[in-house]
Amino acid sequence: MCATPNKVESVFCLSCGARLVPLTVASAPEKPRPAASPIKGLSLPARESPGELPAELQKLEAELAEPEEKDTATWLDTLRATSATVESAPPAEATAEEKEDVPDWLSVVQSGTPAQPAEAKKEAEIEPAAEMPAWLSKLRPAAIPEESGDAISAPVAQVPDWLRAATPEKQAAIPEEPPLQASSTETPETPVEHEPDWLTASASTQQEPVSKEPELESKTEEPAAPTIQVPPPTPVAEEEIPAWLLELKPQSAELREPAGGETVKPTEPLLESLQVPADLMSGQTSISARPAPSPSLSTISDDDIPDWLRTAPSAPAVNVEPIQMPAGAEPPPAIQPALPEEVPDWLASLKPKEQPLEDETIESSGPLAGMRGILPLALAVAEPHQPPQMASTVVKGDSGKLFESILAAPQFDAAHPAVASKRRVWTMRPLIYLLMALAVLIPFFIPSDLASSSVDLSNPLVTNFYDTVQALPANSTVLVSFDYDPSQSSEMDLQAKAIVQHLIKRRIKIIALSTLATGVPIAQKILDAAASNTTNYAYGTNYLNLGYRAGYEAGLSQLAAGGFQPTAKDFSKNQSLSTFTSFANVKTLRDVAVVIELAGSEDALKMWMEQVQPNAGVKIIAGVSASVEPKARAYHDTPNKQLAAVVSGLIGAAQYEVLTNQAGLALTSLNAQSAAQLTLVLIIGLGNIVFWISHRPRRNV
Amino acid sequence: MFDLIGVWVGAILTLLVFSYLLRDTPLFRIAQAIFVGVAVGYAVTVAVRSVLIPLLFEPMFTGLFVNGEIPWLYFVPLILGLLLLAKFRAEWASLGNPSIAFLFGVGSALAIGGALGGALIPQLKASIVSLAPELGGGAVNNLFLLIGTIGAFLSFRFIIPTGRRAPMRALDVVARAWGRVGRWFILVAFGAIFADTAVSRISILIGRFYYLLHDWLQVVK
Repeated sequence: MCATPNKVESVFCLSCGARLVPLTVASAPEKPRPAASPIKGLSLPARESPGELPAELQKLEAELAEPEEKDTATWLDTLRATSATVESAPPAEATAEEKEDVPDWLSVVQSGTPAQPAEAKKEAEIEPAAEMPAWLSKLRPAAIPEESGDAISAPVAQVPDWLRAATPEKQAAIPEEPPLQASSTETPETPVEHEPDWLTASASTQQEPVSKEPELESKTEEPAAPTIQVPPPTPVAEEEIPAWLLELKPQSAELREPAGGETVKPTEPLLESLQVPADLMSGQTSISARPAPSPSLSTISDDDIPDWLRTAPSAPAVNVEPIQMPAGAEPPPAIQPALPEEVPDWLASLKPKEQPLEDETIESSGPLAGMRGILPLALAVAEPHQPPQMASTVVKGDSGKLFESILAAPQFDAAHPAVASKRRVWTMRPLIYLLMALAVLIPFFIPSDLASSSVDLSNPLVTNFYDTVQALPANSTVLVSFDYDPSQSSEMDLQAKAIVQHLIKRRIKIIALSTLATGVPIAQKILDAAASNTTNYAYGTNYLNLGYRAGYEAGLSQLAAGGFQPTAKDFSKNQSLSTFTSFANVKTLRDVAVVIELAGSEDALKMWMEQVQPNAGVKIIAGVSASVEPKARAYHDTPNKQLAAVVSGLIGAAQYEVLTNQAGLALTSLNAQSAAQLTLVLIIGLGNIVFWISHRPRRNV
Repeated sequence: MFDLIGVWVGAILTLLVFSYLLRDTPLFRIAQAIFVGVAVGYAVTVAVRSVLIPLLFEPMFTGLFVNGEIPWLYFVPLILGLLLLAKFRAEWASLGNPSIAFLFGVGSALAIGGALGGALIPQLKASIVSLAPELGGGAVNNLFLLIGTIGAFLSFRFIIPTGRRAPMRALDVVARAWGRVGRWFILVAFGAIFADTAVSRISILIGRFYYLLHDWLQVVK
C-alpha cells in the first residue's frame, strides 16, 4: 500500500501492484463479472485486499457487511418507490412508513429539504455510535449534508486524502466534474441490466424538474455559468463495489439530480469545496451565487489539493450550453482575477488566450492559412531593427524573449538617416542682395556724368546700326519687329525707344509687327509715345502696327515668300492694309528699306535669320538683349553679314542715345548698370579669395 | 486715373515678386499666377482677334454670304483646327493626330531648311578664313578662330584608338591635346554668355527699380 494516486480505471496500483478494486465484497459472486468498468470521479489510493487487512479490520468489515446489505436493499427499495412517485409528490411528502424503513441519513436525502438535516444530524450522531467503530462513525455524520458542516471540521486534518475526497461536499461534486464526466463518454456503456438498483432509482429521480429540488434550485438560479450536459453516470456492478464504498453510496445519492439532460456548472462544487483559489476558476461565472464553502474544509490548504484537482479545466469543451437565465435575474459579477503572484507559473501558462493580440496576424495564404500567431519572419528579416542591449550572458532559454525584444524595438529607417534639426544658418546671400540693391539705387540719387562720358562710341556694331538708319532715305519704309515680351521690356524698351525716335527723327515710315502676342501692345505703346513727341507723325500715315504675326517660322517664311497680305488687319484700327494709302506700295519685304529685329531671345533672332534673311534678301539689323549678343555676333561676323548691325543691351542703347544725341533713360541707367556690375565683380572676386584661403593646403598638416 | 491704378498694380506686383528673395512665399506665388493667367488670357484674345477672325472666319463668311461661293480651301485649316480639340478626350485623341502631324511636318521642314540656309552654311563659310590675311591683326583672330573651332569639335571626340601604328598614336595624342584646348574655348564662351545674361538681368533690375522710384514713388526724375 503505497498510497499512490492511480487512474480511476486502474484495477492495480501502478507503483506497488496492489489491487485497487476488491474482489470479495459483492454478495453475488456467481454472476459473470462484466468487464471492469472504471469508477468515475475519483482516483482511489491503493488499498489492501481484505485478506491483507489486519484481523481487527477484517472483523470490523465483516460486522459491517451484513447490516449494510440490509440497509442497502432497504434504501434502494425506497429509492425505487421515490422514483415512482416523485413526479406527483415532492420528496418532502414521503409517508411516515417510508421514513421508518429508510435510514435516517437516507431519509434526509430523499426529502431533499433543507429542514431535514438538523433532525437527521442528531440521529446520525447517535446511531453510528452504537453500530460502527469510532473511526467509521465519524464518517457517517460527515456524509450527511449539513449547513454548518462542523461535524467533520475537526478530523479533517487526520483523514487521508482519499477519504477526504469522499466527504459529502466532495462527493456532491463527483458527478459534476467536467473532465471526468467528459471522459466517461468515451467509455463503453454498461448495459442497463447491469445497473444497480440504486443507480436506476437515482436516475429516475433525476428526471424531476430541477425547480422541485430546493438545493438544486439555488444552483440553477446561478446566472450565466457555462453548463454541460451531464450524461448519466456509468453504472457499476453492485458486486464490484466494496462495502466501505457502498456505505458511502447513499451519500452520493444526494447529488443524483445533476443527471443527464440537466444543466449544472462544471467542476464548480468540487473546486469550491476544495477551496480552490478564484483564479483557478477562470471561466466560472458567479462566486456569490455558489453555496457557501463548508467551513469544515476551510482548513484544507492548497498544498493538500492533489495536482489533478489543480488542473481542473476552466471551460469544458463538450456540450457547453448556457444556463437559461430567469427573467429579471441580474447578470453574475465577473470573477476578479487573482493577483499575478498568487498564480503559479505552470498554471498561468495554461490559461487560454481568449483574444489574439492586436499585432497578431492571421496567415491568409500558404500552408499556414488560417493560423494566427505565426512569427512574422519577413518583418524580422527584411526590416532593419535596432539591436537591443545585449547582456553579457544570455541564457539559452531566453532566446525567445531576446527575439521578441528585437521585434519590439523601434524601427529606424536605414535608407533615410535621421535628418538633423533644421537650424537657420546665416549665409552671405542677404548681404549680397543688400549690396546689389544699394549699387542700383544710389546712382539714381547721385547724378553723375561719369558713365555717360565714358561711353565707348567706337563700337562698330552700334555705329553700323546708326549708320544704316542714318543712310535710309526719307519717307522710306522700315519693318520693325518687336519680338520680346513684358518681362524683357525693362531692357529692350531702352534701345527700342532710341531706335524708334531716331527713325521718326529721320521721317521714316514704320511698319511694326511681332511674332509674340504680348509684343504687339509694347510696340504700339512705344510708337505712340515716340510719335507724340514729334509733329506730323501720325498713325496710319507714318507708322502702322500690323499686330501679331502668327505661325512663328511658318509665319515668317510666308512673310518672306508672299509678303504682306492686303487683307491683313492692323492692330490699332483693325483695318486692312489696303486701306492705308501711305503703305499701298509696300507689298513684300523687298519693298522695305531695312528690317529691324528687336529680339529679346535667341529664338526670335534665329527665326528671322533662318526664315527671312536667306529668302527675302533684305538687309536686317537687330537690337538684342545682352544675353543674345553672342548669338547676334555670330550672325554679324559672317562674310555676307547676315546681321548688318547689332545694338546690344542697355549699354548698346546708351551708346545709341549718345550717337543720336538724345539723352534718355539708357544713359540715366548706365551709372546704375556700371555700379551694379562693379559690385558683382567685387563680390565674385572676394568670394573666390575666401574660397582659396579656406581650401588651400596647410603646411603644418 | 487708370494710369495711376496701373502704376500701383505694377508696383505691388513688383514687390510681390521681390518677396522671393526671402523665400518661396505665397505672395510670390500669387504674382506668378497672375502673370501666367494674364499672359495666357491675353494671348488667347489676340489669337482670336488677330488670327481666327481676320484670317479664317471673315473670308469664309464673305465667300459664303457675299460672294456666294463656298471657300473650300478655308475648310482645311478649320477641320484641322477642330480635330485638335479632340485631344481633350482620350478616346478621341487619335483624331487630332493628323493635325499634329501637319504641324510637326511643316515645322520640321521649315526648321531644317532654315537652319541649313540661315545658320549652318553661313557659319561654315564664316569659319573658312585665311591665316594670312592682308590685315595684320586678322591673322591672329583667324588663328584663334581656327584653333577654337576645331578644338571645340575635338573636345566632343570620344574615340578610343585601337591602332598600334605610331602615326595613329601620335594623331590621337594631338587630338586629345587639341580637344583639351577646345574645351577651354568652350568654357570661355560659356562664361561670356553667362556674363551677358547677368548684364541683361541687371538691366532688368535697374528698370524695375527705376519704375518704383520714378513712376510709383516719383522720387527720381
